Amino acid sequence: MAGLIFITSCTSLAAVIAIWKFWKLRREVYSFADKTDRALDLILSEKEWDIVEKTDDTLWGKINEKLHRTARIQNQKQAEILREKQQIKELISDISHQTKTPIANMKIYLEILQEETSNDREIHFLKNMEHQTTKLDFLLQSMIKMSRLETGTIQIQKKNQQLINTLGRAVAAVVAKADKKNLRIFVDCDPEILLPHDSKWTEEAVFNLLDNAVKYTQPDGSILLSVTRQELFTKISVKDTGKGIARERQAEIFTRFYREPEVHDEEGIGIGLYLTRQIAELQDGYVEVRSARNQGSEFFLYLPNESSQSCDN
Amino acid sequence: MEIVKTQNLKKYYTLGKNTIKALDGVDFCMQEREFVSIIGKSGSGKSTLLHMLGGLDTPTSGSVWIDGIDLAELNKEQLAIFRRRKIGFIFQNYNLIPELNVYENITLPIELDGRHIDHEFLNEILHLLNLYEKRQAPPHTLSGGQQQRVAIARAIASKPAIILADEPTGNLDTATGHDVMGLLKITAQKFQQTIILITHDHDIAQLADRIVHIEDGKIIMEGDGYVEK
Repeated sequence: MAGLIFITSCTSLAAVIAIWKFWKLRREVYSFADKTDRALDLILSEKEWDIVEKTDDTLWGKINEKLHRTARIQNQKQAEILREKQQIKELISDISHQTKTPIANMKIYLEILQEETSNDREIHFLKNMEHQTTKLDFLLQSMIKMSRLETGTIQIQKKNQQLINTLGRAVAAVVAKADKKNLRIFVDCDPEILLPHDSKWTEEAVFNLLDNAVKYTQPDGSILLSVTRQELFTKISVKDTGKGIARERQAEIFTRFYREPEVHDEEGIGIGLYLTRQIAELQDGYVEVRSARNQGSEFFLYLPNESSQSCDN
Repeated sequence: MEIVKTQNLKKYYTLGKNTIKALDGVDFCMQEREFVSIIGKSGSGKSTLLHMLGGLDTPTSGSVWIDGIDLAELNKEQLAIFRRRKIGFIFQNYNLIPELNVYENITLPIELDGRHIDHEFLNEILHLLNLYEKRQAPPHTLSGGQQQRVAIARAIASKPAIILADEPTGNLDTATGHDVMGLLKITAQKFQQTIILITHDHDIAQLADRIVHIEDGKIIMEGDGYVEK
């Protein structure tokens, strides 16, 4: 009898221990899966790894170690890429600085030569050279801007300010050129509109749109710059009466160095719209075009009415 | 990397004696982080294509690969898990659960999958989509545009490989629809998402990097996308 009780209690004790062990194992597995999941989430979102745990000889300890190493390698690669980008940026700005003086000098010499010669043929060539030099200068300036925007070395400084001042400066910069072609520019913007935006770069973006409109609109046309407040975005629109863009090319025009095949004689290098798109994206906005061949084009620049406080990467 | 690929995809329905060719040999391919619009009239096969890509329907012949996986090789259960993890859906009628508030609606798919919820990431999405103040609100108190933004947040929150949006602006007025799609574009860019947008609206389609026209179950024209990202 006593033996039976002993055996029963032994088995029940064994069962309790087994259940307890199983329960413990289960808990460990769950906690392991949960920790791994958290850690992977951190790695995937490229966030700083802050789960520091003592290295012990458990499964999680081993995996933790390896995950740490993975994250570190990834971070190092990221840093390396950033460094390389930085170097390219520096290279480009060095090139542009070093070429600035020679180009300026060339311009002066060309002017002097033009004044001193009276031979038509020579003057013609000198004019051509001057034109090409100006183009080279412009190209280099644009490349600096582009490299700065791309490498993220430009800090977009959003301030809640009147949009009309920014637009005014952009318009002022194209007025002379528009006047030469007898183009009329209309502006429709409520002076009261306040928008968080970077004034300098937004001006550049709008200027590029206006500059294109002036370039590709036939003499005596008109350009309309208007601003509409929407629920989430403020829409800045530049509408022209120019030649329009075929639908199948409309996605391409915002790419770098893209130029419409039939406008190769016009000056320009195909960087304005690309910059505009870049500037919009840095401010959490976007660009859009609506156009049809021979029916003018309308470009939109959308900027958010409220700047999102988070996500400053 | 190719994230979406279809090869000679066909879907035929028999209706009495007639065979309807909803999709008739579609070869379609998409790179990671690309934003593509598929545009076509109703009955052109665009929704059928979306259903095939989302694993909601099986093709008559041809194959679909999403993120390197051939959908034909998955059984029903695997397909359900696949959809939950790899694909974010945005529909015309939002499909929000009225009993749950905005935040709970967004986290639901992650919780269903038993995954850990990254609250920091969610807050970032909420800020970007301008929903942070509304996070405790029940869906019925929101406007259509706001509800669709919640649906976008829900699609992005589970970090899917692709987001499929089926006429997402169908129930919104033009300006709101545009605003919402603009936000989708910006958010997707920020979180490096791949989007397929189905629409019949040219203005909305224009927001994509590339537009694919579909007619009578065939791709008839493809515009080029951005080379640079």
